[in-house]
Amino acid sequence: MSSLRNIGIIAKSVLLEAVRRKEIYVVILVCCALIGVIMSLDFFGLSGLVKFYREIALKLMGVSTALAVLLLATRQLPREFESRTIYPLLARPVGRFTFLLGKGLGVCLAAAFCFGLFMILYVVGLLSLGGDLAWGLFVQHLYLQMLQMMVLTSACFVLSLAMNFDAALVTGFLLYTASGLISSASLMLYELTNAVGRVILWLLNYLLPQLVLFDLSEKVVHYEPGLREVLWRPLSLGTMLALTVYGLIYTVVFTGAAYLLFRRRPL
Amino acid sequence: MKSLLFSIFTLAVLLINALLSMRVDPLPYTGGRARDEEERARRNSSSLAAMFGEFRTTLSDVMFIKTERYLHAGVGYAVHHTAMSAEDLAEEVDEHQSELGVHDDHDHHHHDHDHEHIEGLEIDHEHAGTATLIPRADRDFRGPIGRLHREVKPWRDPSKPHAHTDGRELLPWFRVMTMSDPGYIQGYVAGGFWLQTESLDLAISFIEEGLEKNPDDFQLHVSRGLLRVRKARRAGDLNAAVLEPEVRSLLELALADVLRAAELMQRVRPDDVDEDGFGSGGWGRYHESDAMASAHLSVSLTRNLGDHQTAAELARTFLEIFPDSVPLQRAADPENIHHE
Repeated sequence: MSSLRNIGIIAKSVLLEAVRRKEIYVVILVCCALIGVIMSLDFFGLSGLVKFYREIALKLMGVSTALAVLLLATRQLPREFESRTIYPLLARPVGRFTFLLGKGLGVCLAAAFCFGLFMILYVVGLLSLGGDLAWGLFVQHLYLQMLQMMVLTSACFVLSLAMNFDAALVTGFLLYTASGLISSASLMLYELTNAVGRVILWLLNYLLPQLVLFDLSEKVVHYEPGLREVLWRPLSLGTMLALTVYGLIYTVVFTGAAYLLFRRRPL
Repeated sequence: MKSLLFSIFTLAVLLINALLSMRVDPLPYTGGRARDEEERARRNSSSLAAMFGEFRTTLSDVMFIKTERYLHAGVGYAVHHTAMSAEDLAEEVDEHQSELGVHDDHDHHHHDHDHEHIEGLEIDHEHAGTATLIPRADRDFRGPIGRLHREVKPWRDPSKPHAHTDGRELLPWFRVMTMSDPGYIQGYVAGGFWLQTESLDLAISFIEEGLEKNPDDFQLHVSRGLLRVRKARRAGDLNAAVLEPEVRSLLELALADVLRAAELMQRVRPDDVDEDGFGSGGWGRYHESDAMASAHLSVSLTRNLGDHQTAAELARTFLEIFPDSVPLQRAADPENIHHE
């Protein structure tokens, strides 16, 4: 019970710090400015063209949130070591695993805060353009994005314990951006490579989290209100459960690896 | 925090600099795709080209592929709608309008293509079998991950007919791709023909915007000519013995367009075009198709305007470039001059 309380306290401190610091707001402001430019573009004086807005806004917001998470998550542990604030924390009856979970939850809450702000802006922008929102798909997209942030946070913890802050940030960014690329490249390469190459591709496919699986934005973008039975229906409960399990597996594995690295680290 | 703000500031300065450079002499960026070394060197010396280089054109190509994705409601197929000539595009747009129930009273004709219309979607059997970027289960080595991928992304079984949307949502991409690369002719041509589903005047003004930036591109002149012919067809009968004044005026403008296109085409068309329409210097089938359209239209519009003798002379001139063209052979035949 006290572990849960400790997790809550640590998470709250991370969230408050994220909200007080200005990075998130800068990311949000830059993103909003870019979306504002998109909304101000005149497309031949025609109204009701919303797919372009949906696509650019969702992509920008997704990437911006991921950037905020990468910054926050990779910074958490190195900074505690640098500023030596970790010592009084761990001197209390707070286990290292509890500490990690608290930090992870805090980063995820900050991501939810950032993404929540974005989504309010997205919905307001979309409605002001006269567009329809696919509520079912949209809520599923939000949920899957949060799962993605959870996986990314735990991966960043491993990276920040295995290397210095700068390297962890860059590697985390590469993991985020290259995930989709690796996925599509592996599909092409599989046909061209030999048996050994195929085994490597198969292993890569399961070793690296396929973050594209948490991105439902394309269906949200191409949703057609008049054709909702065809373009596109929300995912089934089974698929959502499978995606949840998929995300949780990577989160547990990465958090476990981070814990092992953290435990071996001398204070 | 300071470094982040500094990065944002630097990025903003770079972007503003790029925007300003479009207005600054010397070396303004003129747009267009270079066909020869000298031209390429001139274009590449512009400040904007120096800053963004090939990225501008590559970005336009990416956006052009994006329009295909939008046409298929987000489903990613292997690229199969290659660059199309202005005439092919006009036909393609007609098909979409027709299949989606948007009929032009004066311009509606039947097509033999294997299309059907279901609930606001055009179902295209013609391209069934084109591979999807995310493969079918039996061709996907990824097992359960592949199954999830097919569920999460817009995906259709590639053996099934393609579902086409009405094309209206493609328009912003044509706007952006021509803004990012004013020399992207295919963007203007394709955008103009999709835009005509909204308004012919809008489409013509978009092509004219392209012509302002690429005054010597023959395909843009052909496109404007075709759009003006279409406008004339809506205004009245093109084959009437006495043309209505508005129709005549539009046909005269269209004729000026296609004659200019034919003149420009002769300057850039290479001598080594093969029977498939490909030639040196990046000349492709869609260039050749538009080149022929400029010749055919020059002849037929001259005839529509009542000058059969000049039409025959033009046909004979163009036969030197397209000796196998049956319509030109027929138009050049003295026996047909007064009978057609």
